[in-house]
Amino acid sequence: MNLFRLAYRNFFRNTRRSLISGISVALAITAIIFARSYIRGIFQNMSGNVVKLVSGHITITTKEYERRERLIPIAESFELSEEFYASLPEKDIKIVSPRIKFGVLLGEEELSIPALGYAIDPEKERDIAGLQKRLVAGTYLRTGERDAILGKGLAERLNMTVGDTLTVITRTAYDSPTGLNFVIKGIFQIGIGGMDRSIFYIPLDVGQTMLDLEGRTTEVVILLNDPNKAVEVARSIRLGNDYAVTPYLYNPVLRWVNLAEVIYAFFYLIILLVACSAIANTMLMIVFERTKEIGMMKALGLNNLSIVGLLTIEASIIGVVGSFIGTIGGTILSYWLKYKGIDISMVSSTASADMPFGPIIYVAPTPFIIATGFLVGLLVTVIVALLPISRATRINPAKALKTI
Amino acid sequence: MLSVIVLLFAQTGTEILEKVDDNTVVTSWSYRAKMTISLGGTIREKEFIGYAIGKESAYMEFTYPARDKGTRFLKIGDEMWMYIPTVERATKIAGHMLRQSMMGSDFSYDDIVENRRLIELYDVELTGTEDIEGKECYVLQLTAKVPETSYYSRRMWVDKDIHAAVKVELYAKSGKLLKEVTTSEFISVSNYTFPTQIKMVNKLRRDTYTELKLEDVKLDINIPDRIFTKAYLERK
Repeated sequence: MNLFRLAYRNFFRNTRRSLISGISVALAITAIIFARSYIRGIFQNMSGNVVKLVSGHITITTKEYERRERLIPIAESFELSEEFYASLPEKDIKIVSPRIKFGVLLGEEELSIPALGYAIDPEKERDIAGLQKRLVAGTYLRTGERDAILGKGLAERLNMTVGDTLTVITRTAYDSPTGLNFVIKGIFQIGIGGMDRSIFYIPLDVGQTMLDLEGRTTEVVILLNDPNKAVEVARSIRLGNDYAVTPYLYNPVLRWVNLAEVIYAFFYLIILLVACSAIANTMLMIVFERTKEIGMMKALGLNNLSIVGLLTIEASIIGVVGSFIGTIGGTILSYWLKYKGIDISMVSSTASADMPFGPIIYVAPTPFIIATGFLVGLLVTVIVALLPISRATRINPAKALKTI
Repeated sequence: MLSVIVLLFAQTGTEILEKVDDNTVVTSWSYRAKMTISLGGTIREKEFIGYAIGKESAYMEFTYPARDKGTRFLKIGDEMWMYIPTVERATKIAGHMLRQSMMGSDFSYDDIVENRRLIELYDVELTGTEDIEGKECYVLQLTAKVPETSYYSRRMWVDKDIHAAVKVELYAKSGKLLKEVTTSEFISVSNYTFPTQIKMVNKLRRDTYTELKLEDVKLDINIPDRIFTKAYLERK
């Protein structure tokens, strides 16, 4: 108990030094809590975009389609049969929506602007892609109508607007030329440049007829009641060897972001070590300054354990105060930006469709991130301080008392 | 002495190819075509009519099945337009598309509309004789001498009796075999021995072939110029 009181008093013997050490720990912890929350926000944003615009929680295609997906092989289609729907576990599934992606060249006189068309079910996709919420002009798609909605960037490249006719010429699943005139009903802006510049949507049934794929599709996206069960539900779908059933977490970009966690952990460690060098330095100075005092305490009968205990408590006080302030700072900053969001549209407007992040990143702190931030701050402070503190155990009382 | 006589009567590769060209390169022609496309065991049939004048102008219009009916193509010089009835206007096709599959078949657009004398495009060498299905054939090796050919080299088996190619292998510059063409029927009209039943196998696709049967072939006829216009292509 006395050690605690002594350590507490010592903390104020050189208040400025203690505060500087504490602040460096605080800044590091704030940075780490914010960085972890921000990275989690980016991951959530990207997985949100991937789920909505790319894959749903689960994507079903044929194996051959998956293998050659970059080439958009629309001939690799499958029938939307009753048997197909029956093989999906109804209780876990919220929405099943077929999508057909097809490549086209657009343009007036000569076909020259490459674009990506998606034939989607307008009603089902309200709750998946949610494009009706992203319209910046006009209205949403209607089933059975030759409607099209275009990305803002694509509309600008084509110099077209709501009400204009969009001529789509492509090839059917059997490689015959095909085409239709669509009326541009709306213009959307997702905020991801690569998508806004190259994508347009048409109603599924019209797309199926145009592409000679009546009753068929090239992919089906599934939205689940519980996204956390994506892998489990994907495994439970038994469609045969010709099909590829892929949960969204297997999306290459998301896997890459997840893998990058290891790299981020390394950076956190560096931030922490830089901050802790301030504490190590403080403790080293304390041990040097108080050589005589420590010698005296030892001469009075205080054992090494108590000496280490006393100094460790001193370091811990700095650690606790620093980590606490840092945690408060990190929490306030992260939660503020959780609700306000960080607008990265300047960056995401030039981002490729393969890295679907943006336009607003909502920082995503969790109690776990905050608690571990505090504990790691405290633990690392003490561990780093132990090295200089251990010098104190080697102090010879007789020699120490002779020092001035 | 005997070898001198043989040499005197023997034809050079150039002479043989010129006779093949004389038999197939027409000043103008019209036809009806039935195309049977077999892909992975699925058979699809298409029908179209065509008109062409020289090597410059060609017109094609699909008449069957209903899905493709009214799809038209017009080639004038090096430019080609496509008309799809549901689009209601002609669209210019980029040059590279001419070498792509026509309507999902093993033929490219170029394979169908090309009407140039091979002797203008290829250096030719007679490499020997071989029997193809009981017919004695010259074997010619053709190598491109101008850059604008669809295929860099061709190996051609020419029936000695009728001077028409019964089999042709089409190669890329790398030496890769791209397509194999066999002709099983010909008609004799005026001075021509013209192929009417052609089978094309695209060696870059799996399990595929296309048979083209030409009917109602009329050679060296008068074709109104208005057919080779964008207005005719876009007519309702």
